[in-house]
Amino acid sequence: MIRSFWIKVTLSSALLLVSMLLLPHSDYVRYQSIKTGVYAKSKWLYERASFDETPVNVAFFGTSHTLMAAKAPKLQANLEQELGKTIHISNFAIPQLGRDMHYSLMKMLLSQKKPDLVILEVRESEARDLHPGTHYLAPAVDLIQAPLFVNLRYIDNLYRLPGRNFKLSLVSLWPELFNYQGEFDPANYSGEHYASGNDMDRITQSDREKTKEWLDRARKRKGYSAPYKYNQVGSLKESVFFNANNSYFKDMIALLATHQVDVKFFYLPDYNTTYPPLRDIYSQHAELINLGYDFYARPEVWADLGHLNSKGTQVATEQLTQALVSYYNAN
Amino acid sequence: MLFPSVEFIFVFLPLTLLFIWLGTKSGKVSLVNCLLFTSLIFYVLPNLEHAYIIVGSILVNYFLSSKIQSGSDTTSFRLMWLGIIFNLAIITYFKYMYFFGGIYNGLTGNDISFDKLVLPVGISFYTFQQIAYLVDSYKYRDAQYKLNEYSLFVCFFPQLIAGPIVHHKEIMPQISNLLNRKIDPHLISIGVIFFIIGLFKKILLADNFALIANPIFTAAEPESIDTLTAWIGALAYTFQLYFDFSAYSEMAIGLGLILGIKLPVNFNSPYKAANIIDFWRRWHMTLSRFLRDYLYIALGGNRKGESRRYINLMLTMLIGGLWHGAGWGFIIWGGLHGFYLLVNHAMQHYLPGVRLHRMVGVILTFLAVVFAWVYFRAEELSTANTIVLSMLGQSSALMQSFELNQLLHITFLLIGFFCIWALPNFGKWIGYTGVECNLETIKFNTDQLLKSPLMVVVVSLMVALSMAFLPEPSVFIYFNF
Repeated sequence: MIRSFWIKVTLSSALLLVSMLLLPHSDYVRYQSIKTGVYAKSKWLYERASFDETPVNVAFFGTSHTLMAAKAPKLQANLEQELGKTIHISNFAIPQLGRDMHYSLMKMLLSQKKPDLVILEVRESEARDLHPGTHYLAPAVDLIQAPLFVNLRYIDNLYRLPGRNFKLSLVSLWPELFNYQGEFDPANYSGEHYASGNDMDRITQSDREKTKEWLDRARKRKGYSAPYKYNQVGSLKESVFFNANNSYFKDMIALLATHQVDVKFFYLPDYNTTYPPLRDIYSQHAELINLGYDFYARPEVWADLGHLNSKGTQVATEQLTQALVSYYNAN
Repeated sequence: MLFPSVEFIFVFLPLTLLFIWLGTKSGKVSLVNCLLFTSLIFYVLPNLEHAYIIVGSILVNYFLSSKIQSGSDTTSFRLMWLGIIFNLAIITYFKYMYFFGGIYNGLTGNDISFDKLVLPVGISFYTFQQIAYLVDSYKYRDAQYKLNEYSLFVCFFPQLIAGPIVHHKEIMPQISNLLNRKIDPHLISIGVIFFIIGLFKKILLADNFALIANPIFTAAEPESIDTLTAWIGALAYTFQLYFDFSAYSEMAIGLGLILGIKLPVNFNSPYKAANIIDFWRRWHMTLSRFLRDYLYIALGGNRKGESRRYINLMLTMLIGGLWHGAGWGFIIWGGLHGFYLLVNHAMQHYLPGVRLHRMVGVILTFLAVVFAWVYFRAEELSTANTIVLSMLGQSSALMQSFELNQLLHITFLLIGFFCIWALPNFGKWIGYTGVECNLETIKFNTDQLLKSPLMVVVVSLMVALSMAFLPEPSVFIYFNF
């Protein structure tokens, strides 16, 4: 009797959990489900892609490095001056490196808009782990079909899915009851460019400068062996350790090719990096925008080890402007 | 390690059961040693820096209790006090030094620096448990156990971190009997149901009530909290704590049964209590028992006249408040409950004929408890005062327009009321009354219950929803005490 009770309970629970995976929900609600800090930007990302009819000509994807280095309004103004036409720039970067997040955001954007160019941040190396926030934003099917081999997040993302979908479908039924927006409200929209007023913005806008001693001490504290944040590993280890992110990287290149969108890579390593990215998986696909090793070694352009301050952003924006002017002149 | 976590449910618990099964099957390791080993792993792995405290405390208390039982009266008495002081010194150092140091500095004008130390997990529980053991060793001299058995009594992982505070006479005979015990699938099954109910209460109820209560209690401007919001916050915390502690208690009982140990009931539908005396017979029952047996009675109880009885009551509750944490909020909470008990006892003494209708009694008791919880929860006294004033309609904040979101909160609170007042208590339902309960009776009652198809539906729903939301558990409130 006990045995049959537990068999029934196990089967019914499994069935219930699987059915939760199938519950429908609103994508807009899903993009509102991260409400903490700078990640709350995800709501704007969806609104910019889906509800704002202004085109997106150039889209940046990356981490906090790009979030702080590429100031879309300034770039847009520069390009208008140089080219005499409006090129709409959007910064879709979100903190923390994890290509699954970039892939999800890119897929969402490309389902709604057709940019001319995507600029994808690259760092010293791909990360071993995927992005911790992807399980909030990615559609269930993408999480299920994620690469299995050495994907440190796979199980974690998967077991969050039933709960996430259950919650999202409930919220989609009565969004206002849960403090979500069911419909797009232009009055609550940041506009073409995202302005959060959060810490990230404040750091970039500040004139905080670091001395060489401070930055070197910080590098030492973090145990970075110069000149890289990531240690170089052999090719076998590389394909094992970095498989998940490399897979997503390749998927993004394929996705962009399918949508006939050009791509450039934007190299934004940490302070004092003196070499190109460790794994040369980038050069075969597109041009690398490199701000210059002299630039990365200048202490006065850094707010901390990985983020540019307002002076650094200014220089980066000028260089990005030149790269984009060249791109548009050539096309 | 948290019970409602993936690591515990899918890694630690299965490995523990496998280890016990393999260990005892081979006959090379006793069940006691298996349980002791896994309990130590459970505690030490996440609390490595504090492991020496519990290990040291066990060794010292075991040594002292042996000496107490073999020594002369005077020596034993001194050793007992030495042990009590030793235990209190440890807990004072880690838990109260910063708080009392601040008071000392405030009173004397000194500026001595006292560090706020990280509280070793479970210290309040295992300290009280061992004090009781020392006192009983002195009083009865009948606690001759082996070191591994004693260590398991203190460390048994289902109750180590947040109780119940077990008495050695309840547990030690069971531990000794473990040697001859076979794994009982029937008992494991009942234990699993207890565990599932606790898991559901923690993840689906307590943690969601926390989402309502937390923003209100941590509001940057508490004076902006209007009356409705204050009530929502206070009630949400009242339910959060209820389901949190109830969940832990049921999970502990469930784990105990899975491992073959009956733990005492620690929580018996306290919000159904019709008066505050009854409340304390239902809420954290093993702490109430400890405070009564080792503090209230030691202070003289009701043996020294009516007024002394009230003083003893108040002192016991104040110390009970302080046991929960070093802060004025806990002391006031204890004081309020002391006052409630005092009024309750005084009414019984001076107005023996007055009997409130049960429902009136339940509501009055519940409201008194709700107000006291505000002081228990708020991090600042000023916040607690502001919330209480708002609840009494004395808020300086204007009544805000009713937000849709509040409708959700109120609906959730109504679910809470339904659960605490209308639903049966599973333990009571199957006849689990704690250590004394008859296993055959609870097995029979559970069998009857499991025959119902409704039970399959209810348990499956609980399992599915708990598993769905398992990845984001929060710490049990009583882990902090």
